[in-house]
Amino acid sequence: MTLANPFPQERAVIGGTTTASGYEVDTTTGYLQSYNLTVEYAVRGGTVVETG
Amino acid sequence: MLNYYSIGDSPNSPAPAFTTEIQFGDKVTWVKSRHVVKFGGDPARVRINMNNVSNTRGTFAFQDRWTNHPVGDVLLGLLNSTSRSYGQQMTYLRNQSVGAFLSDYWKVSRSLTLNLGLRYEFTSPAREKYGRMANFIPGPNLIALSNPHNIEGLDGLLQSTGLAARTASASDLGLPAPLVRSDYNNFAPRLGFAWRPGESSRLVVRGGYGIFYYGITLLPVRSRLMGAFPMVVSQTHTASPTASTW
Repeated sequence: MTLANPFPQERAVIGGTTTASGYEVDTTTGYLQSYNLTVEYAVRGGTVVETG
Repeated sequence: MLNYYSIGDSPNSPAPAFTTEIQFGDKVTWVKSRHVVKFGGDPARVRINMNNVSNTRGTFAFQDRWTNHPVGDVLLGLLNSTSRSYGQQMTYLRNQSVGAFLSDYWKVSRSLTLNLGLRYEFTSPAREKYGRMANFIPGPNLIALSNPHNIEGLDGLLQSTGLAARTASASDLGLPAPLVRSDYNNFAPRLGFAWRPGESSRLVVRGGYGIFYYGITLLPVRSRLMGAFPMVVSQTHTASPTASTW
């Protein structure tokens, strides 16, 4: 094999025919669940403390 | 080159992609008594026209096979092995989605406000404009083809690889054109509240919960179903072990 003929047909081996490539047929859409809880308390002097 | 860095550009580039997304959205707000009700929707269409460029330029491997030094093999142009992919060049991915929602901002009392909502999401499975897609179906152990008539040179390719009996059209297998069934039950509830215990002017408790769908990732579908055999063929070539067959 030379650079003048780098892909000689007689030496070609086709790949990807013995391995499976695919995608789940009955796929479900991914999702996330988000929770949040915060407690806010106003202390003196216009200061607010928040935790959550 | 054996024991040397690779030279040359990437075999996977250039990879131009032309993406068009058309999105429309509208929302109605209705205020009545202690309720602020909102509802609306936002349909969208996506088009991704993209080259299949996985190793289309080819990869050339030089070792020290012929001159006992990899640089010597390069200078003489004597290869150890090559690989490339060829076949379908452009893929035309199409996808639609729609979302609709209804929410109620409800001031239950002076100390409690609720925000109740429900969103519905539908994202169609990605399809190729000309049906040039394949998916392996484990049950019948077959490769499903979306539209075999639009795959160039399919018959010869299946004959040469011995896979003629291992393929079937999507319609024969009861599959839709995208080769993936749609998921229609994506309801996403949302709940939020703000509460002042004992009508306190200092303390507020807020909370929320929601489900958020994030649709179908398009590019893995494209690479697995549109950029695989038999639309794209991967070849490897290895030099003969004897120098006489250069």
